[in-house]
Amino acid sequence: MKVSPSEVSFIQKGIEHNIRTDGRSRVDYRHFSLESGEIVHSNGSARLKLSDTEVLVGVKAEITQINKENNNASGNNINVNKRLIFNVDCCPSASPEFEGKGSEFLNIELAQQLDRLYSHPNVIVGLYNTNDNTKYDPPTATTTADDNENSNNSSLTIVPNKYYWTLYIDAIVLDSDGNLFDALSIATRAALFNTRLPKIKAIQGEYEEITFEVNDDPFDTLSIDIKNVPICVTMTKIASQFVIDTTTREELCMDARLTIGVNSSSNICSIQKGGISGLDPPTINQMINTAKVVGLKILSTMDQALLDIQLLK
Amino acid sequence: MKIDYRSGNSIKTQIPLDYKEYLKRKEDKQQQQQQQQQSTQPTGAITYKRKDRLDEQFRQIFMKTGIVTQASGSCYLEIEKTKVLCSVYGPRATPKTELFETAKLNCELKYATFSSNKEKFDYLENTKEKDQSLIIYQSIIGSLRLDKYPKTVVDVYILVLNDDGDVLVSAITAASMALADAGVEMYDMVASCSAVCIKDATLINPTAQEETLTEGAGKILVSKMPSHNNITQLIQTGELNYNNVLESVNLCIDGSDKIYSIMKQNLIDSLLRQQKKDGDGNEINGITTNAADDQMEE
Amino acid sequence: MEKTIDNNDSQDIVVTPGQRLSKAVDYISLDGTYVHKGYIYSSVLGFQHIVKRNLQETKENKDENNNNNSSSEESNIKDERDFITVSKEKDPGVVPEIGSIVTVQVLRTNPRLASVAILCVGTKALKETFNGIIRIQDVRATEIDKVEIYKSFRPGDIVLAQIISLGDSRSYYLSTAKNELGVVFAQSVAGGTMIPISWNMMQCPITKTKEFRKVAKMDNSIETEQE
Repeated sequence: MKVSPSEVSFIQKGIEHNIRTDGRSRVDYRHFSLESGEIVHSNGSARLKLSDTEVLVGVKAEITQINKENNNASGNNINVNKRLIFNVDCCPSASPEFEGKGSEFLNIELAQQLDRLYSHPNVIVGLYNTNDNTKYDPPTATTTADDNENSNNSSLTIVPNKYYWTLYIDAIVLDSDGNLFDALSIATRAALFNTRLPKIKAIQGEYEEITFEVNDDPFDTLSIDIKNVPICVTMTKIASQFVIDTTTREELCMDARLTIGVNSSSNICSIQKGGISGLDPPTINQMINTAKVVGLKILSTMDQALLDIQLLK
Repeated sequence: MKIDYRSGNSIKTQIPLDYKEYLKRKEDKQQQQQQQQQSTQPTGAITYKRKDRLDEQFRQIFMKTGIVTQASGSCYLEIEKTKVLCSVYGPRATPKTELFETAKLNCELKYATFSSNKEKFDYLENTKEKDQSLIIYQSIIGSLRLDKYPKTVVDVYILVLNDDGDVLVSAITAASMALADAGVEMYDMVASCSAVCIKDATLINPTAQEETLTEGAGKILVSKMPSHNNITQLIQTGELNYNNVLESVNLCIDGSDKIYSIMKQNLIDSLLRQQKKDGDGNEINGITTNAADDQMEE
Repeated sequence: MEKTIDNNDSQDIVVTPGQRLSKAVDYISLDGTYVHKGYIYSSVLGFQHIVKRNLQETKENKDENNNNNSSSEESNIKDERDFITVSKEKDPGVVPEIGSIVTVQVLRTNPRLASVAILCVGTKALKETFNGIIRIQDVRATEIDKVEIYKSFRPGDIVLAQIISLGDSRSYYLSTAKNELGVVFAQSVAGGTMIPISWNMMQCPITKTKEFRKVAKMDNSIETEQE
């Protein structure tokens, strides 16, 4: 899509006067609808429709074994502790710009953005039993002397230092009308909320080998506590002002943007700047502050909605 | 099955560069273990104590421009053991022009296979390089006057020879220096600085070891055009509260300003030195060129 | 552009990109500088020169001011300000611009156009060549309909031409429709350097054969035309 210079000036002037082309003010969010549990073959899923932006996120859980040899060779193999793996795919059907190699860099940018958002080790605070909302205690390390196991994402541990859950989070952008970053982060959070992990009992065999016993009751599962999971809010600078939740058209006339991750304890979880032109430090402070307020509002609305969904089921 | 013939039948050993280094690492590892045993509560409990320098102190920086003869401009940069080489080609003709009015900037970062002792050659590595290239691209594109060079492409190739932390900062700084060396017109040079925020300290210019030991802590990277007071790139990971973010951003801004003054001095020196080499040394007025100026300790 | 660079100027100081040079009202920003928020900044590493205003007032100050040309154009006629420029000893990267005189080598011809490689822009040699084409209608100014490419250029010829457009995605569009533009150097089949004998003919000194070319009228006016 392209915008003409006169369109750009129309949008810019509107934003200066605090009224945008669709009638919103600068800090108004569009309505969005969330659905979850649509994909049967995944452990968790969510679909978010934000005006015309539509993203679908699926979570697949897999058991991964910590490879001792890799781990202690250098002591700093990061991938071992990575338990959330993100992949974003912008469908060519969403926009002709995504065709072929067009979306290659965008996919990486979006996936890395999510990766940064979840870079804090305590993003997932814990698991709880889906049925009665009681906390589920993950197995803890018995041998404390073993230094390989960090506290990182320890709630996803199955057997300490040996097996853990890896969550593959795959997002597909089905349609795009701007604000992909925020949409993806909200959908990912909802998908994690929807994720059900089967209960697994590990049985130690004779020669150190481990077999698993999977509880096949579809209702006796574990859920992920998303209390600490952040979402991101993108502040886009257009003309001399900044706006949230931009449409594609508005994104085309942006100068710079700042994507800020916020969690429910109002901490900042990631910041990433995009766009060509620079920002001055006072604007950045302002943006972070606004993002914090907006983010908390979205989080509380979202949590309410997620609870409603859960009660309906 | 994937077979790595080079390491398949060899014993995996890690040869320390020198004995001192070896002792240091051993000591640090012990410290790390102790800390892990001590810290039972996970949130924000990452602590690390710097021994060899202050928290807000840079490592020694060395940079030299114009060392790749074939390139339009180049820069070699060392922050102690982090070694980065950047070369700039162009503005040159491009076989495929999509952009007409302005030049296209093409930025590629590559890690040399021997740049770190991590296990290599997995698919994630490629994504990391692309992601970091993008960050560098976004950092420097705002500083260039690409409208001056229609229908051309400016290629920036960065090679990481040795990774001892703060690679992005080194790469951005080197790229900006190389572009200035190439004579590409720009609004300002981009200086960059990063920091790790741990429990009760902010460590500027972290080493690879500090980066891994504080895995999961808050990290901030700022790049900036100092003479316009313009932030061109800002990246933060990990969980931090609002005040912490502002504090560390300000620290990084100060850090970039320091780097900027080193860059500036270095360019002036290199130009004067080059002129001196070209023949008449009598044109140098006022500024003394001294190799010691290249290394500056903050 | 007519200008005199005073090399003995004592104000030659080294400046780095982004360095503030002066207020925008004091000087006119030229090559290697730009205007931002009322100040002139350097955009390259090099020496700062103050260029004294020449008596000749005809030249518009070029497009350097395009970021911020609030006052420069209207006040240009009675502008008394000196120029400020930053240049480096090392050759800066030049790219062909519309209007610049370039030296090209003919690569191949077909009945509609001649494909060329741009070797020099003005007096500066390029590190890498750019592609260009001379279309049949741009070969000469008169009798455009009677032009035949193979009677104007042959592969290998060195031609002076002017850039008329940034062209399509692949090549610049060039023109030789001026007397002083055209073939300046050509070799015959026998390998001799041909001598121009008329505006459309060259002769081989070895075999005395005559070949058609769009010959450039060589005189010293070309050197001063370019930057």
